Amino acid sequence: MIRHRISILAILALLLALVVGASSAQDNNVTIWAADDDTGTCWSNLLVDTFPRDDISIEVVLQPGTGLVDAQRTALQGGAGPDITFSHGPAFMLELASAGLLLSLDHYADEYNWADRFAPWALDLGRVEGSLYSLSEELETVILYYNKTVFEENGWETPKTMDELYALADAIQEAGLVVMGPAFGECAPCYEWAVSVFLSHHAGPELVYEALTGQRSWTDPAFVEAISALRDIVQGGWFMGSMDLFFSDTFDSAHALFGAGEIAMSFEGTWMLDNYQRDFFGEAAGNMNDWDWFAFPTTFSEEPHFIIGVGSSWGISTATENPDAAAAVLDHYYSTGFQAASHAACGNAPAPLFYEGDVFAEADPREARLYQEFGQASAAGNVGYTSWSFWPARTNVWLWEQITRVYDDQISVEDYLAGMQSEFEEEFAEGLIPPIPAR
Amino acid sequence: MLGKLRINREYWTRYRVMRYWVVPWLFMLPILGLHAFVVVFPASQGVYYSFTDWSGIGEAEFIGLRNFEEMFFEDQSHLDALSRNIQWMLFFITVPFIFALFGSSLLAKVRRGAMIYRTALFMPFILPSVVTATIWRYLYNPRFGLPTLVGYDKALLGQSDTALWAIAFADNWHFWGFLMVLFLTAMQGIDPVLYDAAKVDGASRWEEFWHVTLPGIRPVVLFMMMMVMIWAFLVFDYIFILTGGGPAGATEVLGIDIYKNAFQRFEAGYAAAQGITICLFAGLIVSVFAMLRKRGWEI
Repeated sequence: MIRHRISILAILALLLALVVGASSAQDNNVTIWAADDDTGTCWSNLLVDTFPRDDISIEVVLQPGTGLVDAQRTALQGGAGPDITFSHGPAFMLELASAGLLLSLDHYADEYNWADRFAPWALDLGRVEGSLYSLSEELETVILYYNKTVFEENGWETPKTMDELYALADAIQEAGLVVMGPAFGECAPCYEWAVSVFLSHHAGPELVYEALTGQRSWTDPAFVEAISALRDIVQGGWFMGSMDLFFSDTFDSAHALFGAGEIAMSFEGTWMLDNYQRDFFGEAAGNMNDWDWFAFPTTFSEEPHFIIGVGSSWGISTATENPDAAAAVLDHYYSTGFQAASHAACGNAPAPLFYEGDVFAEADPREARLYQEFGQASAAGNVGYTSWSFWPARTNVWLWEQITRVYDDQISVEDYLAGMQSEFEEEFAEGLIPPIPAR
Repeated sequence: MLGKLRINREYWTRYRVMRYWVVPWLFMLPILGLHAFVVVFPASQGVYYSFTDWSGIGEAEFIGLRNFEEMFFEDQSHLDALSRNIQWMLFFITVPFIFALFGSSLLAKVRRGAMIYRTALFMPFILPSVVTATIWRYLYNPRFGLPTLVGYDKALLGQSDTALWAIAFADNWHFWGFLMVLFLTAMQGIDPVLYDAAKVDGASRWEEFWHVTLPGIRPVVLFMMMMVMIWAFLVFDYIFILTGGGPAGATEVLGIDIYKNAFQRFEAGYAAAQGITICLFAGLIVSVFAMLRKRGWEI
């Protein structure tokens, strides 16, 4: 009888331990949504596998990639959604923070010394009224990739100035090739890339800084000249050979033509570094061509300049029950070790952190050169601005939506910039401009 | 005795009330509750938000009719989008109907292999829009698609004067088979004696179609016309997939404009007002058809 009771007690104790254990794990459970694709699966698995703390569990919920950010935003508004949330960048996180949907990270920034780890401008991008609400991810810029084999066959040199780029474009067109890709038939917001580059590389980053901080109007003649130059090259068929193809063809189609040597250059983001080698050049792509890259030239300097931006930003939802655990996961995510591993395994662009030693030792030398030149340009102040990181939301939609009307001669460059100024003034007055790092 | 009768009458009254009023509503209650939860409540919220300045998150500020004022008197992109929806509607109440009437008239006479034809023509309707749209993106490619067959070297989706019609045609390809099957089914309900009488009167195929077939399927045709007119204001998927509203805004319809306002410009209150306007258009269309029915039209 006693033995029987002891058995029952033992079973009850076991059940209690399981319940307490489960409850404890539940207490330290951190949810993250990731895109249900190769990249999303890769980094989220890596995050779970490499997270060093046993007292915190990470639950990854894979969601359809298209509309993931919109779905997450709706869930947050409804008091649900993941503990760690992300969006397209600072302007979007500013909206979430202003609506009280993100926790202030100031306390965790001190606890984990994030100021020593992040590039100062990158950390500043996540601040709203002085408090840190989000962390920037995926250091991005737009560069000109070129088909090295085609360039060598034709004896073309990479240009260092805008004039040299124009001369090169003439030579490419005379050779019967298309100057550059890609096409934006699948991505209307991608028109912002060229506008961002031309504002910073033609008018100059100082002027863009002044406009973003409200000291200069977007209708300034320097900007009119920059956008007019962009319109002229688009109408001149630089992209895809004709405007109708630039407006309608797909990324894959353009990249395949670039790899095959029918398109000489590709005006693309650094997020393509991994893809070009893997999918569009070499034996796997059915060609023996090689590629390399150079910084998009400027009108005012021979030194490499880059527009800087981040692909997305991460923060912690105010609805989380485990903010400390979520912060610990964020801290691991933004460690140089995890970023390097994620870059190597999943092809993710690294976050804007200070990387010491040889963490990218296994990276492609062209990529290593990019980060080296980017770092030098950043130190020298030779950096401009990507609209998706530094423009407020409505002004940015105007920027990429209306530029196609400029290309199509439906509106003038002056009207385009006046419209941009009008949207910007409204958002400036409403305090919706993302933090602009001081120059 | 009278008391017993009164009790019986009360019992029957209660029984009738229970049977004809209470019980049916009890059966309806779950679906009504669900409908209230997923349709009525969000729709009411949508109506409320249409009178606010709201970013889609956080607090909404009540601004009365300001969104509607902006929509109809200031926002040219809304009016342009509305005009494209009307063009889209005109296309869809003509082209697919002509295709479907023609196809169903021909197929109605086919006996051998009729099911194969019907299945083949209906098949595009059950394909997901993303699949159909992707197929047409490639078909329209001027380097290797259909344009090469006629020596045309421009991208139909990349020009502002052809893009909307190119997408409409792709959507029509997926849609007209559905209409055709409906018309074919309706045609099978027409009394064959009417055709025999027409033949005796020496009617041609066209006269047979015009005087017998069309009047016989008129209720279905008009009902579908009403539905297509309503659907024309809801179009989104094909345009979003194929052009995203471009090039140069040439295919920006209300659905795309609403999406941009809600999720890219963070003007969810204004987007809600645009959505309410679409509902009003649908209501207007239904009212016109209801009025015509009252006047004796067979709808």
